[in-house]
Amino acid sequence: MTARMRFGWLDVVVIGCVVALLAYVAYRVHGHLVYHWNWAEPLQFFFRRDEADGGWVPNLLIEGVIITLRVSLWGAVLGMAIGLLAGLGRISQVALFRMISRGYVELVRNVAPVPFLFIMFFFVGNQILKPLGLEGVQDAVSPATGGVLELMFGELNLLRNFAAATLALALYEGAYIAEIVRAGVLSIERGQWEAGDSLGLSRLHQLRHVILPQAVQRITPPLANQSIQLIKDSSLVSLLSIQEMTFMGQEIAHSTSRFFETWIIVAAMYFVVCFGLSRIYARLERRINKSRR
Amino acid sequence: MRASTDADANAFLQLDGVSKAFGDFHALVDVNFTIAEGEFICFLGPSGCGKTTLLRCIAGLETQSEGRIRMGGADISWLPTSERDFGIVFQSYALFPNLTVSDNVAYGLVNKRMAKPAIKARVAELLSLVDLSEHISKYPGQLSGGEQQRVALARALATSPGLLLLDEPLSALDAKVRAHLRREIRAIQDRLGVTTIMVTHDQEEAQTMADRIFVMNEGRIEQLGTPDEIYNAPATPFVADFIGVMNFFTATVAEGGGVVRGDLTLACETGGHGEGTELNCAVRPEDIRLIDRDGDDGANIIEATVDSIEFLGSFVRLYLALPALGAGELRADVRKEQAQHLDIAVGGTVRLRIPPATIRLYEAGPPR
Repeated sequence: MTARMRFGWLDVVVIGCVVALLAYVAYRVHGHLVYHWNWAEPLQFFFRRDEADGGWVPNLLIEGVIITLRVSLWGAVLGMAIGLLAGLGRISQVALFRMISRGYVELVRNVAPVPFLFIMFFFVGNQILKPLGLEGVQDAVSPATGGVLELMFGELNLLRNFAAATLALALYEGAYIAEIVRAGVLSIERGQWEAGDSLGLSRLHQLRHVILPQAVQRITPPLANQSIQLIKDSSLVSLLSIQEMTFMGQEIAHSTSRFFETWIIVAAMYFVVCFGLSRIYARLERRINKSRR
Repeated sequence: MRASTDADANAFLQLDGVSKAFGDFHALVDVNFTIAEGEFICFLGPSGCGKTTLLRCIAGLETQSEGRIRMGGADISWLPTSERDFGIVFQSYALFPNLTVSDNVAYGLVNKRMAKPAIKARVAELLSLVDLSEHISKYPGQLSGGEQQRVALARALATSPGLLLLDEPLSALDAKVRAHLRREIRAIQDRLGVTTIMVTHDQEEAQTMADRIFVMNEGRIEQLGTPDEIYNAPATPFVADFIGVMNFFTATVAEGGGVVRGDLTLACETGGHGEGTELNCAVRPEDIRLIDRDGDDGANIIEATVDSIEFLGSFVRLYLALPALGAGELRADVRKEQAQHLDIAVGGTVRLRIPPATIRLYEAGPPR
């Protein structure tokens, strides 16, 4: 098998078909789809003039991106923690841990995400976070601390909502991360465990110093992939009234009635964030591989 | 059925009736032995004979289906691996790739509640023992196979275990490194006096290193003895065939002693076997003497035709045809100078003598 690409007559035919199809679509859109494009209206939702001093400030779309990144970041952190525990639980020697982890993973994998998120959102928000008393946070902390917290978690009067939604998302992603962690640990040769056993070390000690460091190296690519998946999945929390990109898109689409333009812009923003991140990951991976050699 | 289930006072390691079955497959069948403190033992046998399974049972990495294992007087049959007192070198090394050489060696020491400087000193001592001091901060992936093997050895010895287990430790190395490490491992074992069991399928390795060899076949120990005993007095046809090179042929006990096959009659000690009994006769190629055409007239002098000649460095191996045995059935090893002196050539005839004392007889049935 040769690695070099060959350009044959079949490729010419395929490319010709694709070009013809694109030309046809362009023709239909131009000549028959009576739609008057208006990009200016939705585009103004990137930035707006501040009424007080007349300077430019972020508008709904930029605010939406920031909240999407915020939800994704905390969702990833929590999801990794949950996934690590559940993944290790699935291969635990304690049957109870195995049962709990298995039950969790199977529940998430076999329930549609929207009902799962709603149930978790209301359960977590009402039963777990309400007793913690997150409502009064903005009054309880100094303005400086409040500023830092706001940067990290968004508006503090919405903190409970944000936390519940993020946790619900993390619980959803955690199940998939658990499977990645499990596969990573199981991929480590049995001899590594046997060598550790023979040296008289506990399973936990071996896991920490020998097994996990090797497993993490192997599961970094699938984990990076999952974090991009998580950014896309974060659009689901718009249903929980978190004002991230998709939520904002909905608002703008309804208020301006420019559905095509708005959603194309929102889609492009997701693409830029996710594709940018995947390029960064690819570069990091190349660098890690190089340094390991 | 069991030999004894009582603890032998002199034994460091004692196995009583150890068996291991994987479903219908019997990997180990009623294994019994005792090993004294400080001995170097080799489990020798073809692949699949159960030698590695036996080692893993002693380590607790495999659980025996039946039988008991005692070490230092205590019953360790059901003790988990981490609580048994041994160090092991795996065939695949199983070094920790994410840790440096010194961390690999130190790994077993960290839960011994040793102070950091003491651990450091111990690691340095072990690495100088295996002659790897200059590689202390490298990773296993940066070392050659032989060096990795020595790291594995240092790691296994770090906690000063009572028992050292070596699972085919040299099989992945090239011949020169292997020969060097053989001597080195044996020298270290002599210096430390640690009781050692090594699994190998290489008879040369076993013979050069071991105090005693346990020859295994199909889950059983066929013979245990010193390298000399195993080679010169193999107890079964399997051992005779597996260790060194051996000519085998069947013959029947002749009237008035000796054995006969066709027109070939050989004098030898027939023991208690009655006349007419069919037996397996075994002769080592190097025990067959070639004599001058007009040489002396002793016992067992035969004429044979040379079928082919194999040059094996310091000696040549002749494949001989005898009317009674068939073509190329008998192999004889001759020193190079003698072969030249006798002017041996393919198709020529040679006179040879099989000293009666070198012929060994086994109950009939082909070697397993």
